[in-house]
Amino acid sequence: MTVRLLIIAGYLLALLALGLLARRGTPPTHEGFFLANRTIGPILMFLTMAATNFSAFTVFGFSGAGYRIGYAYYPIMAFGTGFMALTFILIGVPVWQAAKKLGAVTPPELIRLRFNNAPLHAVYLVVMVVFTLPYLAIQPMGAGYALKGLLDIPYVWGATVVTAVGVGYVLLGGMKADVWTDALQGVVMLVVMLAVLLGIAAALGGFASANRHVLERFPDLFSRPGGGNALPMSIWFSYMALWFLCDPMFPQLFQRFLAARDARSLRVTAALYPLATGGLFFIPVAVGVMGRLILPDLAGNQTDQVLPMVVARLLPPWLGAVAMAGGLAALMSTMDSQLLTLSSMVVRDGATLARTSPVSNRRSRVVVVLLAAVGLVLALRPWAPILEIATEAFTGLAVLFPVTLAAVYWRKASAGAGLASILVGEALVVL
Amino acid sequence: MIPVAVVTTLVLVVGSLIAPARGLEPLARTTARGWRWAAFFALLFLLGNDFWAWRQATPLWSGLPFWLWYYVALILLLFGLVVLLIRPRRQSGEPPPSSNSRSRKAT
Repeated sequence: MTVRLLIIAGYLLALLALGLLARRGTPPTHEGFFLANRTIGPILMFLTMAATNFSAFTVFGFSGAGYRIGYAYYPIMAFGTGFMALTFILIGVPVWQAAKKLGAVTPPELIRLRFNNAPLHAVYLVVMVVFTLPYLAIQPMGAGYALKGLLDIPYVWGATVVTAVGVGYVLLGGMKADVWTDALQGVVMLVVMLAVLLGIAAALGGFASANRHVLERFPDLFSRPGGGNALPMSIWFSYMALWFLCDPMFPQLFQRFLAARDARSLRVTAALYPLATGGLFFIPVAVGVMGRLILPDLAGNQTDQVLPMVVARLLPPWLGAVAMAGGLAALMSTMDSQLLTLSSMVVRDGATLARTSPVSNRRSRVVVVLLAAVGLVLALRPWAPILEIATEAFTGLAVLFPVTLAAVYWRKASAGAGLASILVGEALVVL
Repeated sequence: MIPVAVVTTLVLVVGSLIAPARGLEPLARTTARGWRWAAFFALLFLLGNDFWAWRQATPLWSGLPFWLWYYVALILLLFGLVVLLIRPRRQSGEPPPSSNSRSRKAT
């Protein structure tokens, strides 16, 4: 237990130290705090985009889905999300150019400048905030599950500690701290998840052998539509399209378009992204599938805990702790970005809509703390499995895609029609 | 999801055609090259819906069903296409980058 605790504590302290380092040289402007002064080059952009997008949903949600649905879940995530990276070129590059020219810091701000329309600005803002909050809540949920499985500490404490550390380094260094810690977290996530897969496969007698045994007992985990008939053709096609429509509408990813140093940073990220999704997404799904062999009776929300449970059961304590550091890396790198982006929108777009001056970075930091508290409160009582919560949030954000694409390329696109399309779309999502 | 996306897009398109925006500029312009690439990627997206391999669980290769390896190949193809898309383009008649840089050094 002591070794596990030390590894997790050391990892969290390292993140705080990076935040402290990033604090130096961060200009006291909104562009400095929220966009790292638009200086993120190709490698850091790739790492921060990947780490930001790969969340608790990726590690815990995917392994839970692998457990329930099987390998059918891999292509809709790996290929679907890899395909989504085309939007870094399709939307990201023009948005970066325009935001730099116009001085926009947040996605809704750019929409306002493009359409010159306050109601559309307000609705775009509200949708981004409202549908990101449940997704934000998933991160402390994942932290609670991870630390409960690994250290046997209460769910609430695990969620609270990890949220506090994430808030800590965001407050220290803003986007710069966010990107630096993302880079560390991205590398940790990749290396650790690979070690976990190899360790679990070895403990089960080899990867191919373990899978043959799963196939004998649970054949539906190896074919479509997957376990529980979860992915019929229509749902499959919807999921494939969903990531292309919703991922670039995640405000935390959209805002990274604005933080790029140049167009090349986004283009290189788009090229590398399918390799990252293809490699990394396989691991939690495979762990979930193989987890059926040793934990065949999990149900409902419990399935989201299959990865920490399998790790605790099969791996030595120190490797289990390292593995959970990888899981924490995934969720913290998303949570910090969500907090920073939501804070920037509340502060800047809220001020524009209220016709007051934007508040200082000091007050922006207070907003970060308040938003983290909201996410934590939502996470205290998980109301559904991670996959279900995430899918609802993603669909709500995907409604913004047509307006955003039209803002980039279509001269005739009008603010009134954009407003109507968002309102109708969200009504359909809610109903 | 698909019905929501279709309705949302229809409302935007029909509304904008009935009462188009005036005096506003888009952030970027489409090009013929962009449309050609869009066609390539649309085809790749359709290949990502392999309904002909539905309900197949075997044969396995290295413990994984064949249809999963098909997706590994598609992901590599996607990577290759994006690399081709983003490579720097030379204008016709322009010398290759290496000889260009040498000539700059010479001058």
